[in-house]
Formats: sequence, C-alpha cells, structure tokens
Amino acid sequence: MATINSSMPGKVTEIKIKVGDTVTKGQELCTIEAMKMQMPVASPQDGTVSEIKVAIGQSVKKGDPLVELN
Amino acid sequence: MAILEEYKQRRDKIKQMGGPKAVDKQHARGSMTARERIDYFFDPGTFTEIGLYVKHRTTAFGLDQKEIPAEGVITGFGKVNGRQVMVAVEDYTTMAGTFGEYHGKKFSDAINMAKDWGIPFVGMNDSGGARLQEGMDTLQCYAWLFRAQILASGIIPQIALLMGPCLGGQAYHPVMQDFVFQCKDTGRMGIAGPAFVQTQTGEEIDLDTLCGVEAHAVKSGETHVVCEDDKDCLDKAKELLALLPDNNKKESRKLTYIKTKDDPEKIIEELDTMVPEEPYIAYDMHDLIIKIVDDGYFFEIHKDFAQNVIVGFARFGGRPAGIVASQPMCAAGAVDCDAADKIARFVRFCDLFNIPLVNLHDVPGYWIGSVEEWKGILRHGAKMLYSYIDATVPKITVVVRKSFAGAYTGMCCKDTGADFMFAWPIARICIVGAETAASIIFAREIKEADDPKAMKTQRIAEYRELFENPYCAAERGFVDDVIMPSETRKHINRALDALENKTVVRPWRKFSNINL
Repeated sequence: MATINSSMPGKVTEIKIKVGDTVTKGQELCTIEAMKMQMPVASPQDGTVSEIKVAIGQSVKKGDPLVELN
Repeated sequence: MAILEEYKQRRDKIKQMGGPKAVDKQHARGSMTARERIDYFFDPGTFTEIGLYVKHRTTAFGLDQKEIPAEGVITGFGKVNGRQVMVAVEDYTTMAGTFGEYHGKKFSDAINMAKDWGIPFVGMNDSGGARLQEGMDTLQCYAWLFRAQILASGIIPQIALLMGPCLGGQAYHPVMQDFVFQCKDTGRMGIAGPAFVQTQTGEEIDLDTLCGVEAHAVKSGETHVVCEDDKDCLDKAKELLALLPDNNKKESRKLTYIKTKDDPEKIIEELDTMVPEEPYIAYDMHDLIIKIVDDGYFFEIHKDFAQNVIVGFARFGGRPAGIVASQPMCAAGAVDCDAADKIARFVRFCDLFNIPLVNLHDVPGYWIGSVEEWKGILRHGAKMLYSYIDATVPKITVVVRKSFAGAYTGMCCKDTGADFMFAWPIARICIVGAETAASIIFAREIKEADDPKAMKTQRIAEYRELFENPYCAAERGFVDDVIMPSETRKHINRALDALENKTVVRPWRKFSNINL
C-alpha cells in the first residue's frame, strides 16, 4: 500500500490511469497544474492502482492524496 | 631522562582520549574518534594541537577526581587542501564530550584565533550536552561560544560537522555557522531531546524523527549537506573548503582559483534544444547547470530543502561562483517562503566572501494563495530582494525560459542588482503571464462578447505576441542581450572576467533592515 500525495497545490488536469491498472516506478499517473506549469506525478514504485482519489478539474492542496497503490 | 619520560607519559595518556573501552564504543557506533577525524581531515602531518593539557577546575560531585583528557574537545590548526584551517573537535569518548567551562573556553578560543588569523573554522560536534556538574560556569561558556562565532561571522567561513549528538542550547552553535553538514546515522541536532519534549509537552517522538536528517535537511532547512558517514562528511567539508576563501578580504578569493579543463568560451550546442519551449513543461535544471559550469562540477547546498530552487557552488574559468537557479521540476519553480529563505542566506554568504553570483531564471513568480500568504511570503520574499540589492559582488542573471512578476525582481534582474542580464530567445519576461493579463485588461470585453471563450483566446494570444518574449525587456535595456543558449557559458565567463575588479562604494549605514 502506498499513497501518492500532491507535491504542490493546483488543479488536476489529466488522469492517465484507471483502477486496476498495473503501473511501474516512474510511470506518469496524473498531472497537476499550477503556476503556469503542468507537473507530471510519477509513481514512486511498481504496483496496482487500488483507488483514484481525485477527478479532473478538482483542486488539491499540497499533501492531498491523489492515488492509492497496492 | 625522568623528565622526558614524564613528558611522554603525560601526552600519551591524554591522547588515549576516554580509553580503549570508550573508543571501542565509538567505533561500534560506526564513528571515528576525534583524533581519527583529525588525522583524516588534515593534510598528513600538518596538524598542530592547542591546549592539550587544559583541565577543568570543578570540585563538585567528585569531579576533582575525574580526568577529562583535553577537556573533551581537541583544538588546533593545520592544512586542508594546502591551506590553513582551525578546528574544534569534540571527543565523545571523554565524558561524552560534555560541554563544560574549559571545554567551552577551548572551543571559543579556537574561533577567536581563527578570526584573528583570517582562516576558516570547522567545528565537529559530538557531545552529550552541557556538563551539568559545573552549573553556571557551563552556561556562561555557551555565551562565550555564541559571541565568538557571531563576531567571526562574515570574517571567516565557519562550517559545522554534525557527527554525533548536539542537543539543547548547544545546538545554536552549528546552526549559526555558515554551513551545517549532518551525518545520516549519527548526527542529531535539536533544541531538546525526546525525553525533555515528553515531560514538558507530552509529545511522544523518537530522537531520529525529531532531530535526524529528515527533520533538518528536508523539513527545517537547518542542515545544508547530508553525509553518509564520518569519512563522507570530512571529504565533503574538504571539498567545500576548496571553494571558499580563507576570509572576507578580497585578495583571499584568488586562493580558490584553480585550473579547470573546460574552455571558458566553449559553445554547448545541445543547450539550443535542451529546454522545452512550452513554458508549462517541466525539466530538471540540474542538467543545464552541469553543462555550463567547469567540468560538470556542482557542489549543491540545501539539496533536499525547498527543492523548487537550486543553490550551490561551481566554477567558471576556474573561479568559484555561487549559482542560484529555479527548478521547474519541483513546485513549478515558483518561489515560496522556504525557497526565498534558502536563496537569501546563500546570496548573503557569497556576498560576504566575495563570491560572484550566477542566477538562472525559469520562474513563474512567488507562490500565491493562503498557505504561503499566511506564512509570510511577502516578508520572506523580501529577504531575497534585500540580499541581492545589498550584495556588491558580481551578479549575472540568465533568463532561461520565463521570469515573471515579483520573482523577476526578487531573483535579481538588472535593476535589483544584476551587472549583466541575458535572456535566451525562448524567454518570456513580463509583469504577468498572458492569461492573467488578458483576463484582467479585457474582462468586460470577454464577458460581453458573443463567444467569450474565443475572445479570451484571441486576447491572450495578442498579449502573448506583444509582451511574452525577451525583446520587450531588451528594447528598454533591462536585458543586455538575447543570447543563443549554446553561448551561455561564453557570456557568463566574459562577464565574470570583466567584473573581476568590480568595486561598489555606498554611503555608510550600520546595516540594512532586512525582513528577518
């Protein structure tokens, strides 16, 4: 189990995975946009997506959970 | 002969530190002893000890019967990279390196000597804290220590190596030096340890979490360099010392110039296509830094703290310089409170020791919103402005891709102190981004348009076309030249050569009232 949190406040502009997907370390999971920058959120480890905690267009704060991996 | 025998015995006894048992314990912890650290740190055979025989004078609690070799701290001087350095090295094997009256006197005397002699001071912290048996005498010594180091600040570089514990008021000592190096498994620094925290506040927390590298290199920003172990720590300290002058006199910086391999005018073709033109695509600024500096060498400071900006030392044409750069890959490279603090302290250090500054902008602005506003982004951002405008060293700024709003001025533009300001052709230098500007200027027009979305897009494009480029700033002389990325190194080196003897004279004042 690992929770991937947002490293900065911003808006979710893209979600590149769905629940059940197998992901590898470094794979892009979603994109957070703020301060004129689109920040790709990369997976810190290999795993399976068990939950996506945000939706496109949603605002997140720094530290908010984005994705849960098994 | 008896006299010489006594001489030898006395010295040998003191040099055994706390004895074989305590030495074994120190080794079992994965640490070197104080004397091993000295041997490893200094150029072979160059160390001269001061105050080997110094002894405490306490009689309370049976201390008059207690031998504390060298008072638990070894002081002296020798050569590192061929240049003089003063040290005070705490010896944990000797009554846990506790800080008593004469321990403190040796420590502060070493700093005073280093200041008077104009040589760097390195402290190696490994102490169980205050020697409580000495009561008020111990507390008074902290005052000597703090006064010595603060009065030496800005005259000689001071580096703290946290190789063991340093807890309580004593921890102000490393934190008030110019750079703090912390050993990953053994260096622990804090205003109070877990037991005291628990009794006073009820908070349950272990020592590593409260005072370890994660606490200080990542969270508090009090640690500048994280080290694997004692050897790594001493190696890195030697590396940093090679980049720093002995003192604040201008001629001292020449000691740090070395011959490097790279041609100062080298054209670096790959830079022309390395940075994405689209301002919203992230990349790692480190890749750019190691391309433009001599031999790809960069000594990073605060690597794990406020990663949205990068600071550290490198060389240009053999001459050390401080680099301050945005990091688009982290939090958009925007400047928040921690990033502003990180830059301000680094810039002031470079200014104190005549080290020129090279600034690389790819910055969308200061971080906005309630979190940073309430933390005081205006107050913290002001530190950056103060430090750059106050600094009299050569300052060169290169706008790589964007430099907007307050951060354009805060990270050193032409009129906040840059002697030279260059911009790459992809640079966007502007008061705000086109989206923000167009939606304010044309708010009513957009709202009342038949197709507001199309109107907004059109107005943004117009604003972008007109202002989001490097030429508007260049036409006013705010940018000295728009340069090809491949020629960046050449231009920085030419500018630094031209600025070698830069002199600034300003009217007297005690100091500027920087927003602390």
